[in-house]
Amino acid sequence: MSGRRGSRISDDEINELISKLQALLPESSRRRSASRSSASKLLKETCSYIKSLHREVDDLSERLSGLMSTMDNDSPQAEIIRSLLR
Amino acid sequence: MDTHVAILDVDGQEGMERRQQQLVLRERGRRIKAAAELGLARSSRGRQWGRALGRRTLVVSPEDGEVTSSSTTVGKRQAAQKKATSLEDEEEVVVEEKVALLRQLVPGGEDMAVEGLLEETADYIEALKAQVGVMRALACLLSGSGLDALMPEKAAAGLLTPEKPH
Repeated sequence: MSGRRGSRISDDEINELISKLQALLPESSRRRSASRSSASKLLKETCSYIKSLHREVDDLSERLSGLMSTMDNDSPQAEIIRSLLR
Repeated sequence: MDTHVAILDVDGQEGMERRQQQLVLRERGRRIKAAAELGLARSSRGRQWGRALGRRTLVVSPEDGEVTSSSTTVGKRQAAQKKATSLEDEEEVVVEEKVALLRQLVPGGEDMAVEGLLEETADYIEALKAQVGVMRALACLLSGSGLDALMPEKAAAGLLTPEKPH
């Protein structure tokens, strides 16, 4: 089964989706949402969560770029970065 | 030289240098992100999202496009909702739509079955969190405040004291 556009999701699959998704989301949002969260709501939260993680990666990349430009090449910090890139 | 022109000239020169610096910074930021994504892909232990991310990152595009709901998605939802009569059908339409969005967010998601997609999503989220953690630690390290936490032995030996004041 490919599950691509055109194939419908069954009720059983929806229930499984709900429990799997609740396990995925961070603790805080899990407690906030009642146990009767709909699959669509959970999916929406999952998507927002992934998007916020993506944004964080973008922000951190930018920040690291700025920090690296002021880095002293002989510092221990630079050595750590170099060892990570090897 | 006319003072007016002189002022404009200095401004233009500084402005250009600033813009160039911004471009350099942005380009480096993109390369940092690409390196982080490659690292993420390699650490995925052969997961589908990892392989898809690895393939995608190697084709580096200058500008990363934002993944947003396109007008076609909205159109599809409207068409599907016209068919949906009961509340359950409506819910199902929204679920389908959200699953489609998830497919776009998780690398390689377009080719997965729904159950597989959820598995991959869980793993992908965990890996993303770890990546963010590493990058945060690096930022902390580079801003000079995190060295002691990362290398306690060297700190104790007094090897980490910065030579020049920040």
